[in-house]
Amino acid sequence: MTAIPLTLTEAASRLRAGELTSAALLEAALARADAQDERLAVYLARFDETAREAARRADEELAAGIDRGPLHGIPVGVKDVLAAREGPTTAQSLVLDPAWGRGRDATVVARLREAGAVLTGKTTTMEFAAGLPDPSKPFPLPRNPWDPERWPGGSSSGSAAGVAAGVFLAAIGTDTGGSIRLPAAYCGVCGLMPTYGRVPRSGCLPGAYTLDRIGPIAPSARDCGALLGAIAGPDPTDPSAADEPVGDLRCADADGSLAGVRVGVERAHHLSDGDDPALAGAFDAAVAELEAAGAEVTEVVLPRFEQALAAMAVVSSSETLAYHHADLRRRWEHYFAGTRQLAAIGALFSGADYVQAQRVRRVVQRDVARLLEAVDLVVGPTAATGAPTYEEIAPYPTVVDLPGWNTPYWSFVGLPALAVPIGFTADGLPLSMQLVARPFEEALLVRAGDAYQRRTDWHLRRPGVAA
Amino acid sequence: MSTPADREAVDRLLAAAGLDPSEAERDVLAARHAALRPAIDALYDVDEARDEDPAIAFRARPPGPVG
Repeated sequence: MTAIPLTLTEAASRLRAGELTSAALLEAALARADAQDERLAVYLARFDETAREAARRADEELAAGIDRGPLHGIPVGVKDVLAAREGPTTAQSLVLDPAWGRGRDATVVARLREAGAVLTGKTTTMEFAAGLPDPSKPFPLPRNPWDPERWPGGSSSGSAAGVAAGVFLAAIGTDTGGSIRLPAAYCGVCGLMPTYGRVPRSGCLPGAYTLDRIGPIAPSARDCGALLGAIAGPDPTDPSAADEPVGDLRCADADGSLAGVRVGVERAHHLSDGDDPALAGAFDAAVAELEAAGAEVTEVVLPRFEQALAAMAVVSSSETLAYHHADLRRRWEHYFAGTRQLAAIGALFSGADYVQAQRVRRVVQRDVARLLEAVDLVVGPTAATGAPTYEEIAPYPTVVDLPGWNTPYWSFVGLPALAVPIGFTADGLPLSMQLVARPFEEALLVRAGDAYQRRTDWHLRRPGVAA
Repeated sequence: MSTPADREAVDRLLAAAGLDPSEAERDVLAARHAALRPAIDALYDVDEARDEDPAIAFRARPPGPVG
């Protein structure tokens, strides 16, 4: 059986060197899914036959000298909140109309196909990318490949778990308050939440309209750049899509140097007494590696942190309720408990509260922009601990009640953020830091993540199930 | 800690929204109301927001195909 390369970048190189075929890579990935998915629940739906056809076509094209870029021939999973023509989109929900998106591709999925990616299937999520796992509903419970008793994080649960387990080499996730970065952190892989508007959302179910992003989950920072480069860019069907140049997000000419890059280390709101005992040391070591790569490191404090999170609560829940209101009135019990609780928070706020929260958001945005005049990147731990067990998350009514997420602030201000693995807890669970850049400066995130990963190998560690 | 006033407010707001959660879910929402309401009210005291437009975009031309 073909060995699955550790990174997308390595696989792309071996495909072009004639050392690997897309068909063989896909069969190895499908065999891994056959062996592991009953336990891990990465997939809600698999597209084995259409994937085989796409892999065969990729091999033919590459042999004929047709090169569609770094995703050509690479197995990719897609979170089941994006439409793909192979089958229905469920959002892991009993409520969503099965006809939604039928027979069509989300813009991102269409761009993946154009880039030659091999779509292997739809991955598990939390209901509508919002609810917590609900064992009373007829959907699989995604498991963490590092310890199947633990949650892989969410809501891009299957996308991150699948990358960690080697079920595919890259995946698409979505992020409203941390749903790319948290599962990436808990599963020991990389996740890049792009700038708001960087990736078009047509054909993707909404979570919260002014917060939602679509982005990559993959083994390395460069892998994330390769994936983002294929899916980013303007789209006339999405009014939120930004008309910004995409550029080279693979950072192919990066040399591992961060000379001249000013890194602001944020501890005040990213570290606390409840952290895993290994986190502070792992984070300090990661910052030291950035400094050793040439970065100038200073300490920073996030402005208006509490105001931002209060306003975020209003914005997020109000926008979520707007989408689900009609169905919640008719089908309350059909929703996952965590989804309906989250949406119902929106009923506690007035229209004026929502508008004022969006006005305060501008103030926070300006203050953060001033902070990012003094530094080029801000870094802090992504999460306070390793992945929690299912038993540990069960008492929490909604995902926003879970402790230890350092992600929502960055969702609120619209900036791009990259989560990268930085070590392990004493129990062998991955730890992670997130790097944050100015709007549309994802290339700097990839360059910094790549510089860090040239000096460390945390991103190349794999759980036992992927051996 | 929520008060009877929080629970009354939550029941009223849920009724206005046409939502009918269970008693236990209402209790959770009442606790959330107690925790969040002061922070939300304080957003109106942010002086710097007085002349800000909300972070919501609108364009006169509708996106995508019409009809």
